[in-house]
Amino acid sequence: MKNAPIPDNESQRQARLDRLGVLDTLPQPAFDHITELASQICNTPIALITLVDQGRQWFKSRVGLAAEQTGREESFCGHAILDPTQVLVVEDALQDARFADNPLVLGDPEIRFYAGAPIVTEDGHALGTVCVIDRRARVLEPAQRAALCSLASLVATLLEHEQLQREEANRNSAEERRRSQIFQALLQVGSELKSFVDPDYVYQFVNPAYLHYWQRRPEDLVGRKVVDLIGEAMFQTTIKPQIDRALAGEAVQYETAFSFPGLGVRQVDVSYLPAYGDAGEVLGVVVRVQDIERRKQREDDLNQALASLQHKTLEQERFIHIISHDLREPINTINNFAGLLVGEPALAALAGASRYLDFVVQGGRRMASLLDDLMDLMHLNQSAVDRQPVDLNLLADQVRDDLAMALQRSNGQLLIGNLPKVSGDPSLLRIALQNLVSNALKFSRPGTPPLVTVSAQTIDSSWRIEVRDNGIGIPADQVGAVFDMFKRLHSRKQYDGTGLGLSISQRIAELHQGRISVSSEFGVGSCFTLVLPQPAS
Amino acid sequence: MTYQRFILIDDNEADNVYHEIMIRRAGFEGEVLVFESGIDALAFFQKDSLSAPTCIFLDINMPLMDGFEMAEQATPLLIDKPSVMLLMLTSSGSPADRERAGTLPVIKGYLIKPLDVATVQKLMSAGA
Repeated sequence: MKNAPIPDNESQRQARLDRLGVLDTLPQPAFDHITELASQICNTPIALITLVDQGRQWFKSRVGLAAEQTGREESFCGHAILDPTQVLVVEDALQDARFADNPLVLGDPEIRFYAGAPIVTEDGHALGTVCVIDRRARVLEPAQRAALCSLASLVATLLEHEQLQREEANRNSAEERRRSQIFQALLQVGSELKSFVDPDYVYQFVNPAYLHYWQRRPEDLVGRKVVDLIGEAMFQTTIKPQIDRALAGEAVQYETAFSFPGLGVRQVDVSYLPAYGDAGEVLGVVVRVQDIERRKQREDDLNQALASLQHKTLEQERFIHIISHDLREPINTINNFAGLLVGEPALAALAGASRYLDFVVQGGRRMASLLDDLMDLMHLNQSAVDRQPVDLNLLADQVRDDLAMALQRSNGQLLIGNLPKVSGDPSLLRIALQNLVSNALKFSRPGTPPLVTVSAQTIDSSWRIEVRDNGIGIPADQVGAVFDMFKRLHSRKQYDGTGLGLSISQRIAELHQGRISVSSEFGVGSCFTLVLPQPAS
Repeated sequence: MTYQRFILIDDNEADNVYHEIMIRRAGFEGEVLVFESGIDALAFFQKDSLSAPTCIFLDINMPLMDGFEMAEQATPLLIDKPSVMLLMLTSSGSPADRERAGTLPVIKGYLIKPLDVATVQKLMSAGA
């Protein structure tokens, strides 16, 4: 006997066969129909679909043969696959040197006639055959040969199709598995309690957080009724009505305090959300419980802090109000009568008296202006901005009138350019502008009469009102500090003032959603810019 | 019409003294009456004929009866007396007080303390 030879490309052929994934699969009707057909067409008792594997040939389908597989060495098909293009026909095995002493010829099933058409894949590998076998010698008609070839080609197509389908299914199931892992993670991970309750009020799912809060095992809950967990009374009065609303399609959400066996009383945010099926029917209710105990705690703390802060602020404002009112009377009295004494001829004769009186007058005047500023600040904190159209030209003229004394005293000049009409609170803007101009006049260089220009431009839908002076300027390292409350950069002897003016002006700018910026060169002058955003139409 | 009389209604003695000095320095030589409470002033208005041209300065912050209450109660006595001029004279610059003064028809003006000579002179020439 000549053993079935191994083809040259055996390793690729074997790999291709393995990739088909057909070996040792269950019988399938499509293949059985093909062997039936082959047996009938060729009029043989035996027909097989064989696949030539390592050391064996395995039958995907068989007619007239009991064995599921036979050895490869004695196989006829092992010979048939050597030439993928030819049907191997052995008319009488006893007359063929390759098969005459083959055990399948000498013994069961006593093969005499064999015809096998190779099953060839698209890439040219012969993996097995569709073959017919008879126990007597005979010939294969050309029509039978052609039919056998067609059947073999059909099997190849079927096998390859099956492989594609299986690969697709595998890919789908891998994707499915990955998605399911993601969903699992969404449900399982995290501190939020989640469960799914079906329309019969039965838990279909609970996540680990749910189990932890309730101190239960999954089997205590899944498949059990909600009422078993929380008790009849609470179920009927609280939980069931909410679940029913969700089952009717409403998303229910509320906050409550609940005592959990695992953690005691917790503030929780509970939602019951309807879950819908493909046809839009309600499948059940997704229950989400968020523990907001810590958030609530923080909220309470915050509210307490806020309340005490508001209380303190109110007290402070009342305090400022009281001192500014009650201090004003005695200060006015001092100022009034000190003013009367100035220029009394009898006093001028007394040594030092007029100098002392001068100190009293100055101190009184300073105290009065400090009170004015404090009152301004207090009103700023209380009053809302009364926005209306404001002609800055008129406002600047008023400021010039108000500061007439200061202008005269300092021998200064105030140049007012063409100013826009803006939107704002006229009395507040007047205070702000007056403070800026008054500062510009005040901080002049000794020997240089102050020259103050007020000008304006509109940039990026903001009005920019500039107050520029030729005064002493601000050292670079101090520029940031000028807006601080009560900040004074000079001694009173040099430059009088309360130190509140700029913080008042800045506050006014902020009340208009604007700001005051400053640029300055020490020894040359400063420029304060009041930036007012134009309100959106 | 020339004012023959100034009336100061204020619980602060020093202010009354100072304001009288200012009135005198403005050149007024007639009668200056001082009441340290609204109640006293009201009592005076009730028995006075109020026929003499009079300028009244009324403080707001006073104990027992504040300036607004006093003005309200004096309204029936003063409202149809064109020879009587009632002005608030107060240290309160608060917009709320100024607004409230505007709602009372009997109040003809709102001045911030202290009164000065120029203001009195202006009033006197306007009243003349």
